[in-house]
Amino acid sequence: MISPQLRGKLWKWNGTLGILSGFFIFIGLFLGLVVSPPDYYQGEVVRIMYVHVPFAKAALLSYTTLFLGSCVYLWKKDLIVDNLCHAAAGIGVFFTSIALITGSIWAKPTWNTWWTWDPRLVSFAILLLILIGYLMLRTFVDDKKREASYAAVMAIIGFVDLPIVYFSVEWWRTLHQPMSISTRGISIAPGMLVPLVFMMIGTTLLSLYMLMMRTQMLYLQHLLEAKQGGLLSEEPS
Amino acid sequence: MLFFNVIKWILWKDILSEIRSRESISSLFFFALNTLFIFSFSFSVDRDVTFALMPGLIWVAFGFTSILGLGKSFLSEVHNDCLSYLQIAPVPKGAIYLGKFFGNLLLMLAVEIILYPLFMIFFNLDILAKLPSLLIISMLATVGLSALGTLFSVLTVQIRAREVMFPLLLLPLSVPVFIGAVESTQGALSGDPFSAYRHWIELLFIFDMVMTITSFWVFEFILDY
Amino acid sequence: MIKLGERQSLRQIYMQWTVVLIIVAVIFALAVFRYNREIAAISPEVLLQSRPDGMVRVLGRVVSGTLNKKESVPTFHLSHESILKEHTEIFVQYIGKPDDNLRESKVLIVSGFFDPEKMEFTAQRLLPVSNVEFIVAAYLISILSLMLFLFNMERNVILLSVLIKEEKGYQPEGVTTDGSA
Repeated sequence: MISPQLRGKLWKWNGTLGILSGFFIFIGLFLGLVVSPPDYYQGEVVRIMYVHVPFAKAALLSYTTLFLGSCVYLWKKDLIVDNLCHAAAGIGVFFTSIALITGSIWAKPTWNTWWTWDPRLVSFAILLLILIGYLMLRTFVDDKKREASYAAVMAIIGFVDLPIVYFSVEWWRTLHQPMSISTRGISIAPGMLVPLVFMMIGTTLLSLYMLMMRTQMLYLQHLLEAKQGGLLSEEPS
Repeated sequence: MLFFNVIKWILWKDILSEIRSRESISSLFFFALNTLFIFSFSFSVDRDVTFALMPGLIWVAFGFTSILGLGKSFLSEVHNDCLSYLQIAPVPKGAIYLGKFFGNLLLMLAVEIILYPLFMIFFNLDILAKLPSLLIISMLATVGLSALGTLFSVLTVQIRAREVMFPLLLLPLSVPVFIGAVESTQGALSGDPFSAYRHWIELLFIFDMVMTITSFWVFEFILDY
Repeated sequence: MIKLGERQSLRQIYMQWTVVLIIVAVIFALAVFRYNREIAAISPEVLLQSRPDGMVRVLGRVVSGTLNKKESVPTFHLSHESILKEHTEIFVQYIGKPDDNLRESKVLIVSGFFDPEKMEFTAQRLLPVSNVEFIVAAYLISILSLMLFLFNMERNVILLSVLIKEEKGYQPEGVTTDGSA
């Protein structure tokens, strides 16, 4: 059981985390939109990179948190950890969808296509499908403890499978499409590296902040439901 | 020895009930046949085009059939209250998983073995010489689908909206199976030497290993109380 | 003084997010100013009509067949970026560094000075097309939805805490707390 003192201590840091992440993101946005130079070939559109890449990394971070949290849940059976997994999945869906949308918007002026069967894009789309399946699974199971176990199992299988999906699509793509489009093959000038680093740090801190906030929200939702008597078990059928 | 006995008992129970009722295998077989007919009407009857599309058609048909067949593999347990007994039985849960897994595997393989000659007849393909390699590819791909399908079947058979949730959970995760199966079937049908499509077979093999072992380990958390 | 780590009321959330919105609006405004200063470009028609002095940027397409790279100073004709529109062409000579972006039928931005007497444009720099609408779309979608998502979560946490405090606790029907039916 994660001790309440640990939770209390972590929660006290929440505000600082939020302010720190905001600080990094504001500086990153300012540098990215106003100060940094445009790319030689891509022009101004390269600025989308400052949003797309950090969000994609945050999505993968949430997914890893989901996997680790699921393993810890199956080991310790702590319901707070289960709330953490649920929160991580929700945040993962958010970051993955935005990463896919901004990636698509970036692809159109750069490669003149909205979508390409790039292994990274396909893996992200499959990641989104896995996370949505995870959230739907949680909705459809009635018993709370069973919901936690089933969801944890699903998360573990999905995490183990995603690298295999990535490599299989990569092999398939080298077979069917010539490598004329280099994926994200921009050499990063120093002027572009600094805003990117700021945004990455800021988004990572922000995703941690969102994780804590969302876990707290889900915990409070369950608490409210318990207080209203919604979690009492029904008659065995 | 209890471990292997449990596998044997569960497998034997499934085979016996299937032989007596023959409901799964006949419904799956006719479903696959119907899918074949619909494909032959939906796509052009130009022979070259059909031959080029053949691996994809085969595996889409098998994929839908697996969804149907694997999805209800635990349904009989739920209907007869057997699932609660399986939960409390003092046997290694991984053995239950493997027993069901082999049962599903045999069922799907039986359907595929009957279907390949029918493919040959209806689409006028001359693949008799390539049939052994096709069957090996089918075996590998079906192992992968059964490994995931058995696990998700026991997961979804107890929840609401099970018919929707099972393919929703299974299909994104079986993308490597479909890619590997279609590519190696295409290689086998075109008569390429084995070395040309060898890494797809390796992909299928890796997927099977990883998924079977992972599902084996996590199965006990589903049949947990 | 805002207490770190404890958010007691909805008012604090609203104030905090107003501050965030203001900062983001300031950054976006600075970006817009920068756009107008460094990127915004006019079409050749507007150039011929307004005839500005000083440094100006013109957005247009290199008319195919007019690009002459053999001289020391490459020259070409620049028309409106859309092929379909009725176009006026201006003559451009490029005195900057050799640039791969200078190709037939390519849409680009030339930056330099216009000479109304000789009807010639002297380009000092070439820039690729700015595609600003994509950047705007991407940033609006990502930043606005991020702020909305986060604001919603924080607000929910406060509202749930309030609801939990007010909640009386489950009373099964027909039984009051003192046990009488």
